Amino acid sequence: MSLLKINDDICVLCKRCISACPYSALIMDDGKVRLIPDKCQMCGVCVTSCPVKAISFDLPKASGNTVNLDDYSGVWVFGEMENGELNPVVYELVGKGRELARRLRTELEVVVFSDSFDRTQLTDYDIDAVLFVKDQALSAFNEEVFANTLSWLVGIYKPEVILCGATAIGRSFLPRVATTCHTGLTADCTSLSIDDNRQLVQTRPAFGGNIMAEILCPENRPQMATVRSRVFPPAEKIPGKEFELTELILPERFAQTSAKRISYTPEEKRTSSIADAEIIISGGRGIGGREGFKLLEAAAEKIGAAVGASRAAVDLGWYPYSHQIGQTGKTVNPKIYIACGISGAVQHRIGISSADTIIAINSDPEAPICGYADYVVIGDWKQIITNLEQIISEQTA
Amino acid sequence: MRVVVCVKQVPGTTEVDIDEETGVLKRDGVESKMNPYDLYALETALQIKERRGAELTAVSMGPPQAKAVIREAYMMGFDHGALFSDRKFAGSDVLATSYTISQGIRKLGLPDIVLCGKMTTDGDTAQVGPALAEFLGIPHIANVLSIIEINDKSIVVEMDMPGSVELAEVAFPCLLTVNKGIFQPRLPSYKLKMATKEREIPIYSLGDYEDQDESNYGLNGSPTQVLKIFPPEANANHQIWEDGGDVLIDKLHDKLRELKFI
Repeated sequence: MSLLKINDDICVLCKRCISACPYSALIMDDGKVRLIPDKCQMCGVCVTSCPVKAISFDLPKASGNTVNLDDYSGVWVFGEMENGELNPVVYELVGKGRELARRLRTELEVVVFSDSFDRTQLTDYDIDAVLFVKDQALSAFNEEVFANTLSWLVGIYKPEVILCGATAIGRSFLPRVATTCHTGLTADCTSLSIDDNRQLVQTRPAFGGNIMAEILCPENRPQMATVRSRVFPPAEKIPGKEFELTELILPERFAQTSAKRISYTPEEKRTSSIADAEIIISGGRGIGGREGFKLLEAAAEKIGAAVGASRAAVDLGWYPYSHQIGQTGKTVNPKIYIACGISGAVQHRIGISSADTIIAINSDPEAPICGYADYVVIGDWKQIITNLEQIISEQTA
Repeated sequence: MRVVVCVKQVPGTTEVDIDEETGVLKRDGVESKMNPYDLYALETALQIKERRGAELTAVSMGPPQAKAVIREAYMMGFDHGALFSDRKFAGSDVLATSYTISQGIRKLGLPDIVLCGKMTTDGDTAQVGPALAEFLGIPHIANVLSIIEINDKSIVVEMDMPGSVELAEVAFPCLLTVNKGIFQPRLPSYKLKMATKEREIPIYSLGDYEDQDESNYGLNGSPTQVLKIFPPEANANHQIWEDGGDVLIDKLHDKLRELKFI
């Protein structure tokens, strides 16, 4: 039994589905596209890759577990706290959340879990209300307690959209909330919009390759999404804008957990914080090894840049993970990003998409990064970087 | 003590190349492999076994060929395995996947510890572990950096949080997702490969589950739907400099100056 149907009468044999399949489950056989059912994971990449709609899912969508969509309204932003202050990503989500709420003609609310909250942190921001759940049990992050608390609020207020930073905290407790509420949660969205049917269109990278996926959560609510920091610009202040603050007490049963925090040790600020750097020189597999990074460091020092690395370079042990840029590393927003020997697959691109100017130095003009960099320098990175360093040294001497 | 580790078979490489003549994908000869992050979870379980004794089970969800990753766990020293496989599980999103795995683990009996890798390289969500914990009704700790102490009733772990390292104690049963680097994963052993060659890998399908309602599994049980897939936009306005040598360096230098960096 196959759950995927290929209509040979419509198929134009363009083979796009074969190339698109991440699991090599489609092949050409006897002049037709054939499915290897044991390999197919029903990811749907082929269905959306087909220009003539010859591939379809061969099953009726069951209507179980659906909710009355009209019961849900309002956009929520989770107001993650870090040492008593809102995480910067919250302001970015407030900006995006306002845009979505306006389109949905609904309210924008920020939800805060803590033992104390200084409301001036949100003074002049364009939000309608803050829901503040005040409890000692919420003073430090606990996966279960945070999940129970948010699930409880969703049950009462029924928001239609919840946005949360894709931080260590958001990534850890939101999946539990989505499970309890029996709804979808889309990780690491890079774009969010509302379509004509009031659905939240969530765009995220998928399948390791150069693919972006648009994801909907059509029949379940709330529609939940996490977004990495620095993907959206921070909200602008609107002087005089006021919001309503509702303080709630956490019912004791939600504070139960068998996990407890023993200690908390703040890490010292990393010396070369690439997240805040204005200029970054970054290396990938193409720079050949640890020695290559030494050269990048020397050049970086001359121009006051931070040094970054691609996942490939970090996986090879050439540079520490704390400098990794991309989907599984850090997101950066420098004024200039110089990528040396980085092929720049979509995961890397996500990490640098808010850079003002991207300069790619690569010997391979076919590398993906050459497709989206602002300036593509085809050549030997080593020669270019060392010469650049020399020129700058001569000037400053 | 019983420990269950969740592993996944993922596409062999994320760098996809297409054979222009046949239109077929070229994947450096590697069709699929163990999700690299799962190796750290497997090694963590093996370390627990060596330190204080434990019975280890590797579980996976996927098509029948995913047996290969369970076999690999056997070669590293795992005692048991199970594959949750059914065409009706196909097309699962995070919610349906974690539900399917939770039903399978319940079938095997809830262990003291469930271990997961940080994320997979194909889905990249890092969401299945915490969602699975919720379905199993147990606490979880994500981003575990190291194990500090383990006794009969609980485990103390170090977790990586933004700007801090925290110590947490969690009572069994619990789920942990471990970070890369918690331990150096061992290589599969040839001796164990030979010794476990005949060992069975039981397959559990929907008919074996307690909840056999098809609407909770696969595409039907998935609240999210993929609407469209497209390549990221190319930058149409970019400049390409291929002049080579000094001309190129001058251009780069001028650009940095223009942007007021030097």
